[in-house]
Amino acid sequence: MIQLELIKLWRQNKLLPGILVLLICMIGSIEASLYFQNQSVNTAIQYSQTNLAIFKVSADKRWAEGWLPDVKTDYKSYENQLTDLQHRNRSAMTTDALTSYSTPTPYLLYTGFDITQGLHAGENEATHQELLYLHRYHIGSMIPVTIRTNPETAGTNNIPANEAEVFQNLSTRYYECGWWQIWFWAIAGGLLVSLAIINLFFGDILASEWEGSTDRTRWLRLQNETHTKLILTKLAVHFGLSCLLLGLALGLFLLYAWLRTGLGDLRYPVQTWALGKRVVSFYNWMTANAEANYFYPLHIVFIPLARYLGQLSVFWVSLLFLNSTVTLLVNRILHIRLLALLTMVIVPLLGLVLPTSIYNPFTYLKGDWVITNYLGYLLNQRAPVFPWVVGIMIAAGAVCLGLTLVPLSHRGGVHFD
Amino acid sequence: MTDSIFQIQNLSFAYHRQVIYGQANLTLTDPGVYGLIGPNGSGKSTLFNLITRLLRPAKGTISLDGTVLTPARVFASVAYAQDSSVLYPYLTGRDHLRFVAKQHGVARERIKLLSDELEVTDFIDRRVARLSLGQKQRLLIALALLPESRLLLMDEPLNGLDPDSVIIIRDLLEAFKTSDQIVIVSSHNLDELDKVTDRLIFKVDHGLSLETVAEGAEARYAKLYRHPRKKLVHHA
Repeated sequence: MIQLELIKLWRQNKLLPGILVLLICMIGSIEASLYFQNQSVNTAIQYSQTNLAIFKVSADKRWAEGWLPDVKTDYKSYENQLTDLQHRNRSAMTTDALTSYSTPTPYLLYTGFDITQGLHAGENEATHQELLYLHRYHIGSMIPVTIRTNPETAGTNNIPANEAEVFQNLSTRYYECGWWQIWFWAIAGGLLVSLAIINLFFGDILASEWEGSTDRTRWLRLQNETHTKLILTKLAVHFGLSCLLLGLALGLFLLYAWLRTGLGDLRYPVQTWALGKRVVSFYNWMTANAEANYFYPLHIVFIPLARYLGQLSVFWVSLLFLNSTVTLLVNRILHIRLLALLTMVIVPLLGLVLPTSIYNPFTYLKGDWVITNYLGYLLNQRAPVFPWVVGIMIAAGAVCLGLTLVPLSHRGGVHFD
Repeated sequence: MTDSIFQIQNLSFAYHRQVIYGQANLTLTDPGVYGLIGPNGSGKSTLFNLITRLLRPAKGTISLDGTVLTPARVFASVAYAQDSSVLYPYLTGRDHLRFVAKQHGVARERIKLLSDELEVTDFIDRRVARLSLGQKQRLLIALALLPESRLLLMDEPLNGLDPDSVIIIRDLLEAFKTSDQIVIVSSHNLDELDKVTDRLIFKVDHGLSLETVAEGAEARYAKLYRHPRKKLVHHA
């Protein structure tokens, strides 16, 4: 039966185009990241040059008789930041940024004091911790060096309107390497896009048995294939092929990324939220302590990217299982091939447009929020939400499968034995 | 008492509250070819679906060689050449044949044998979507013949066939006359039915009637079902 299913899908030309579309989207994503990164670096260089010139003019005016030693040190530091950026020297950028972030008044050359002081929710604190982590493990930062923002608080920072564009440049990251791109997809809803693409090819896997008034399950049942076996076979094929398709596309993508930009360091720090002690900020503005403890009792903790990707793979596979069972249930209810296909493509994409809410089920499917436990913060949870979200997805999948297996009489009054 | 090979006892089935069969009975004691005749929509295909357990009767039993037909028994002993819409348009004839052969544990050599016999070989590797109706019918019959079942049901096998296909299927049915299998063929092509059998099962009211018809299927059909036409009146 499984062999017949695979032949059917092969003869319908669904396997190779499926891999191809996924691969095109993945490559398109990394190429877009590289394009926008290049633009961002150029903009950052322009800002840096402008800020450096302003600094110099101001300093010359104020200390006409000669700059103070501290001012000279700062100027040198900023000049280094610009040079590193121009040469795209990741390691040196990390060191320079850390030096700046280890002072009471952190300063990235293409931002300015006002921006960094307008941030909240421990973003400066998190950026400092991230830079420390990168420095400790000798990992070059993503370029340009950016402020570590939090998923939802980034949009609510008290940034003057005229500096909004600078803030945008300062907080937007470009995940230009292979492993980093996969991380980016988890953040940007790529998981749901992958489901929509998979469903574009396999979203009618059960409904294809019915076309108009034709019921091909009649023929299969004569070949000693029961309804239960048919559904379970379809599930195995859908789930197996979803994993295979994604795995093959990811493999090919990583090969492409390795040749194009490299895979990136798997030790790269990923910001997560876990229980921790109160932080005493050494920054010199009044609200610095409160900002650094914004998520208390949760606390910002960095984990290596490898661990994050490991959890992401578990989450993704669970999501694929849920998707397979939902596909079967929708197909079973709708029976109409095109309608089932359309539904299964549109439903995952709704997750990208529906507003975040605890009442919106798609909020729980944001892989990045679940793995980093930002969802735990939103739900006022102390323990990591990852295990129970994955558990609920698998349980929901089992419920959908159970509902699909319930025998229903359908057109023609045909009963299932 | 005569030993029956195939027996339907008190079969009742209704669809959308419309009674199709009510306490219907049928006993076939000899192997060979039987024609199943009834007007359109009278329940010929429904009978095949009931025999093969694709539909569940409200009442009654259907047995073959003294054993009530269950899904497992149907798989082992009944072959059903359904209408061509059940074939997968994107699969080839060979894909279908191989699947059935695998399910029934039939050697692949038999696929070749049957394909040659039914002249399916020429298009066996072509997708079903690209086959003519006659080719699809021959493929369906090849699929039904593959497992060598005791009971063979053929639903309108002569529908829309070209003369070559009609001859192939007629020859095949002729061969079944002397086999130990029971073949029930539903058809509207009464002339062709006459050529292969005189044992006809008529769907009459809500029951089934087995008759050996010497006068020809068409004459009997006219007596049973044809009503005098109303005269058309032209209103000026």
